[in-house]
Amino acid sequence: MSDATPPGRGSEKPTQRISIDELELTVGGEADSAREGANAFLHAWFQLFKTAKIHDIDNQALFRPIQNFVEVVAHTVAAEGRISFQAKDGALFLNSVKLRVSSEEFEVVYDTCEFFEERGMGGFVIDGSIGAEGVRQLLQLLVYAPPERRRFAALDAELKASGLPFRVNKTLGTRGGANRAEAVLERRGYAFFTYSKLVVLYRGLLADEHPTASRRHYLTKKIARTVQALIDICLEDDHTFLGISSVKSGEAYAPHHAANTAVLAIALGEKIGLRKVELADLGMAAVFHDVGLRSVPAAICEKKGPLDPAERAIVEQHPLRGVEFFLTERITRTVLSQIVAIFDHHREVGGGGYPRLPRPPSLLSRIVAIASVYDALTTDRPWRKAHLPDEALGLMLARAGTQFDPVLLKVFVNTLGLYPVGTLVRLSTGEVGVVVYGGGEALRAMRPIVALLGPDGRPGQTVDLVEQDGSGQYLRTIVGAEDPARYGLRASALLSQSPGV
Amino acid sequence: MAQAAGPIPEFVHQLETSLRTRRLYAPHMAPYHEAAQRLLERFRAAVGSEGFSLRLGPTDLFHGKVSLLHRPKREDSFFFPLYRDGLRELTFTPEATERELDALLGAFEAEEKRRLGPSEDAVGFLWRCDLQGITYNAIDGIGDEEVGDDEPEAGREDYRALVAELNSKIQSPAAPTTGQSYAFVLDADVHVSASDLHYEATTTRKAFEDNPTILDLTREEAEAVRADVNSEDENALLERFVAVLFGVLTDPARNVSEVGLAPVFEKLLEGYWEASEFVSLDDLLSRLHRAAESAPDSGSRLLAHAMVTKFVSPERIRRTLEMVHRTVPFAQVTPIWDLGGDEAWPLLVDFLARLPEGTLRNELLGYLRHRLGASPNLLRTTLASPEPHRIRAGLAIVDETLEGVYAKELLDLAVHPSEAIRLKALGFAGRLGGAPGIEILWRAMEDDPAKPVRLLAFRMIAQARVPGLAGRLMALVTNPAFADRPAWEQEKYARLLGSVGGEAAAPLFQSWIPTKRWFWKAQDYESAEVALHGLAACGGSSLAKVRAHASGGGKLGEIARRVMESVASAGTETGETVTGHEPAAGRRR
Repeated sequence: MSDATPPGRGSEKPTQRISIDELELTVGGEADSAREGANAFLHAWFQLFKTAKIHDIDNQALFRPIQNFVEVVAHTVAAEGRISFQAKDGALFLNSVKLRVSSEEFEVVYDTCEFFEERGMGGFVIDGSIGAEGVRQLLQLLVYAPPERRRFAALDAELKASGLPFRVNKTLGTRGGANRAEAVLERRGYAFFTYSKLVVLYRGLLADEHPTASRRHYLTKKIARTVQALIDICLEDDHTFLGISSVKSGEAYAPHHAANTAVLAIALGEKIGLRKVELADLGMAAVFHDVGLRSVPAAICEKKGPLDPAERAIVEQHPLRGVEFFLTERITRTVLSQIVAIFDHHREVGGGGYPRLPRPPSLLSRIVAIASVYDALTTDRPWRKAHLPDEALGLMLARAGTQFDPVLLKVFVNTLGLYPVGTLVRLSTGEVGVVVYGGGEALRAMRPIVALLGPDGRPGQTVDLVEQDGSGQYLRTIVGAEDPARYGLRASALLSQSPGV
Repeated sequence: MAQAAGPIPEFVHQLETSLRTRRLYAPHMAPYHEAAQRLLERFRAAVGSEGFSLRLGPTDLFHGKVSLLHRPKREDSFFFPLYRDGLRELTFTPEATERELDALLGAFEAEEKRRLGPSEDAVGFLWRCDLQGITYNAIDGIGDEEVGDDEPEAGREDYRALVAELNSKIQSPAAPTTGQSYAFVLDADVHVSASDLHYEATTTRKAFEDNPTILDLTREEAEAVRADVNSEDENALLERFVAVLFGVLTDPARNVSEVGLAPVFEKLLEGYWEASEFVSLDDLLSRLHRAAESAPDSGSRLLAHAMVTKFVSPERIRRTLEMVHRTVPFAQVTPIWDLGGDEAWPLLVDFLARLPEGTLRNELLGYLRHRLGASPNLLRTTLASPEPHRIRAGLAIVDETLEGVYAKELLDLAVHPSEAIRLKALGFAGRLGGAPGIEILWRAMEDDPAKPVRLLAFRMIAQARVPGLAGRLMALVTNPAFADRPAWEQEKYARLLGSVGGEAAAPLFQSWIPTKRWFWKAQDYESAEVALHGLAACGGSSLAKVRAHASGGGKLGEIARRVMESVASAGTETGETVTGHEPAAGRRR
């Protein structure tokens, strides 16, 4: 119990000593019920085929398992449209979501996988409701048929002929040596690969207007793991890491923007000394900072002209929509960080922006704001072409102290350099090259290492712009940045082929 | 299967044993510490100078190809949750510390102890442990598996394929489309001017060339960044989160559904409550209350009001009363009571009724009196309550400043069935004075069924300056029904009349003294005693007469002596002192 001297009413800032975990902030029961639903199907299936293995098709003991299976299928198909039940490497997936099983249930999983393996199948798909008679028919084919007719090819043919909304799938490829395969990938290639994962996962999350809780958890979990992998890359080699934010996509803007913002934010966070766990929170906040925009009509998001007041009002609601997205989760420290950063990321340090709150924006949101705006400025949008990186930095520096935290922005420019990794630059010698190493210190900000493009437009020899001749004159100087699109080039492709530094 | 021997197997088995011990004992207990110590010792023996790796399978822990632990039943397998979430190998180096070993055990326990977030798996938890001396390999099921020859089922996303496709697109070379062969070729005659007006105008290059230090962080800026990083602790984060929730709640557009917001607020309130964080709880409640009154949107106001009302339930208030009686400072619970509205009042009054004298009672009285400023009718309801204990508590709340406000209700209590309450009411009546008060006292004196009440009424009437009292008393005592009153009451009336009426009443008293000398009956003695009391109360010559009788003999002398003893023990010779607004008839001291 508190032994503090009671303060005057409303006159003291409250002293909070409770931890976020102790609050056990949990909202909604959708998550638990979703998990329950998926495992209910597993149990219904298990009960069905196990009972069928023991009893004849006409035995009374099969009545209840058949009925149960019919009901579960009807319920699941009604909720999710179809049932895809697949085994892979000892795990079971229902509609692409891996089933989380308790230790008591693993025998169920094991037996199910064994059932599939005996028949050479990887799983099955149910496209519609199936009645009791249909289930009996299914059992005849899967359980009671002679062994030679229970192999995949025969099963597939019989099921297609039966007219049942049920088909078997082949076994998926097994995982083997993937870690070894990744281990040999070039460091940069691995960074792009991890980046691709993040984009695909986030895109998957955005694709569903109303994702089920299990799907959302699955994707968010994978995103979290991918963000962790990105942080590991950043901690190992931040220059390589930064290069992956050179990937731009005007068509699939949202997922790339989310991934690029995460990369840039993590790089900035690492520079100011955030710990790994804090970087993970920052990365997740950066990925999801614009998740609220999924509620804004595409016609507004992609409008070429200026927004009218009503449209602007809708757009300015997206931080709140983003908060709403997370208020259906059990709220942990990470989720709190995300919520705060999502809410704050358009609030300006000078007091402007939206939504309005009396307290200044949080540290993570100030980082996300810088990263997000830089990526947006350097990407083609429907209403304007992309700014070149140094132009974008110049525009942002002009708003240091009003829109952006001036100190963080300074660190950001230092981190990227005036010509960030991946920038196509023209040199005073007339050569064109791609920056492969820059930033991090004052001299490097202006004088990065550049991979010169050969006649075929591919990067080749690297030159260090700090090199001087005998009289102390720099051999090469950047004259200006070039737009890769002008040459039909892609910065990310240039980087991936550049020699390592 | 025979157990493999050696330091590494022993470490693995100790790992399992230590986890089992941690399940049974709390961290401060000796077996917990002993298990940790043993684990550390086994670890040091196993890791040596080279370190070692363990590989995870679905049912086994391997060192190389040898299974060190075979656990086919998942409930017995501490490593299965991590395996299921992708962990395949753990590598222990000599640099691993005791803290890291403990963190690793925490990762094994994470799922069982519900430490995983809804979108966090066990391997992600392990990553967050940030172990330096213990590294691991894990798969995530996305992109890190080799695609087999079989195609995935049609129509469903295969994330691995999508990742591979995007990755290929990102990194695939594209032939330049410049149409200008010289674009990338160094031409000895081509030199591009280092001065580019466009860039000087629009980039920071010129500024940086002029002053390369503009991008350097000053010492103050560096310290500011460090302070910023260190200030974002959990408490600060929670405060920000609450600010966000209120930002959402009070947004004019208000598009956040009720379903999402209310449960979070409720959880916060409950969390603070369970942790006895009353300062934070008070702050949150008062902010909700303000939102209930001033949020721009009516729906938001209703929502906030509903949350406050739901939390500050009668049951909650009762709990606070138990707490404030034992542990929580008074000032930290009163904001909750404030928000309980008028419904809280009867609970607080009942609580007051049970409290003994002391600081808490005084504090509560002060608080209740303060509340009456906004809702004076609350006390009216209390004073009219059918529950005597509530009325008594209500009477305790009434102080000198409140008596006038609740005069009517207080006077009405003079006829309450409870004697104790009537006594209190008479006290107020006496202090209030005036015609209504006097009338209350007179009726109580005349008719109240309880002797203590009538005695008090007598006393208070005697203290009051009642115009025309002597006449009223004279009429009462000369009424034939007066003789039916008990002797003690007759005596009271006689003394009162004597003290108020003075010598003018003496003849009446004299007439009550029996004149016969023999065959006195009981009522003669009573009559004589009443008369002598009355005469004594008249003072002056009448008192002298009584003294004279007392020095004489016979029955009258005996009675007179008793009367004089009574007068002497009362401490006055002229009856009650007179107080009040008007001079009483009769002599006074």
